[in-house]
Amino acid sequence: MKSIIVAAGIALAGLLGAQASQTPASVAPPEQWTLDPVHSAALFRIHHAGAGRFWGRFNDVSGTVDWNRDDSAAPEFAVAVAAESIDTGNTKLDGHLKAPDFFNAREFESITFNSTGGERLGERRWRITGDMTLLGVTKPIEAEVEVTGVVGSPVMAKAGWEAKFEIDRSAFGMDWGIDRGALSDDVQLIVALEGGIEPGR
Amino acid sequence: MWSVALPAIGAGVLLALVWWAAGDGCTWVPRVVVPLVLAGAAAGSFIASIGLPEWPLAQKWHGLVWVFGAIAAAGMLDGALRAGDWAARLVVACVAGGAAAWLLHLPDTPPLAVGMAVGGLTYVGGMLDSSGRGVPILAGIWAGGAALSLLILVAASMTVSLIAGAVSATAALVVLVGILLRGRAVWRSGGGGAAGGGLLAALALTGWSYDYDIVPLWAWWAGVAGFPIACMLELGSLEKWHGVMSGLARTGVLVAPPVAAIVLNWDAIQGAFSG
Repeated sequence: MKSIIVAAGIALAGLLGAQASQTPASVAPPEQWTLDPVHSAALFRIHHAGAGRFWGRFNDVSGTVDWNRDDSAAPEFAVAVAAESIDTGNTKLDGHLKAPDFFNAREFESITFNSTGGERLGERRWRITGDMTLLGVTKPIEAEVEVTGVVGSPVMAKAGWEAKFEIDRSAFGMDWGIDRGALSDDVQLIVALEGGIEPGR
Repeated sequence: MWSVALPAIGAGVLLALVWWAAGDGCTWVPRVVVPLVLAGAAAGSFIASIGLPEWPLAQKWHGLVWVFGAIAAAGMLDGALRAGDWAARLVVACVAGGAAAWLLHLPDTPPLAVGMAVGGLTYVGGMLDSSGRGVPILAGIWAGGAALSLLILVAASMTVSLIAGAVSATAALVVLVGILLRGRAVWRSGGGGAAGGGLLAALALTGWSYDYDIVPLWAWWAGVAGFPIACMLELGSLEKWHGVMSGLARTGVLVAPPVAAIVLNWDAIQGAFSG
């Protein structure tokens, strides 16, 4: 009996060892998706004067997403948003938001996010952690990310992601109007991304 | 509006107390305390808006508050100099300019340009001040500060606009307090020229550096042009004027360029206030 148990143990160990040695080879390196600025945008929402919730967007979003279309691992984002591309539909307001009181776009051209990890929440849903840099200040943030779709062909593949998260802008040194209640400290953000894989990659 | 009213009122109260304590006979105290309250109002406005910035600076324009400190020191030193001390006045202006070049690194603006502008206008303001024309110089700082405040508002930098507004309001309060406490003697009391010149230069450069070409370049120049124009004219035709007309002519020269900048950009200024 003992010999059977020992033999079974050796066989199991051998099997696990073989699996372990195969694991690195079986996980393909993530595909790199290049973001399409035309179909990507970052939207923000802020409470104005304790009354309405006000929306604005950044039109110039670029970067890459490292992700396998089988969703076997968390997507890794390296995203840059051009601060000067802010668009509220009002030129004068855009000017104030680009000025030193807010995004100081002359000094800080980009707002960036780089993934540091991810936790699966469900099918094609992830909690992504990463470092966000705004006004030169880098803070860790968490975002809920949904993979909104992936289509592929031998010629071209496209995939989409949508991230939702909230920040306190004062943590990044953007304090204007908070103490007087003109604008809230907390800002909700939705970042909608579409990326593609170029032919031959 | 606390960023304008509070520093200006604080400056006015301090000035009134110092002038009252010093008495009529003392001439050097006002010459030293006026630059302190002008630069102090600018620094107070900055701190009331965003607090005292950390070092190293998180944003380049935050260096303004330290430049205000350097300008206060330079203005007080300049105020203590005699009229003929042009070489010492030049050294003081160079130190102010050097401090500005070191502390205020503005986007797309070489530090040398910042230093030359701040140092140059500190010197020009000090030279004007040495002729003992108190009210015209303060009127020039009032008009220059008001013009820059409005132009910077058009360029959408609210905090810097309020700082320029505080400088302008304080210059007006200095005249008011001076008239109330010293009567006609305020016309000859002087003080504040060097600090006023340095402050206007630092504010104009900051406004221009962050402007997305909304304000025309000539308007930034006009905001500070009263000082160098008056200095040049002081060497020539202004020297021929005497009495009340002298003061009015000098005030006109110092005030006209910033007023022109306001009048010729009035539509944009009105637009900045609407909505």
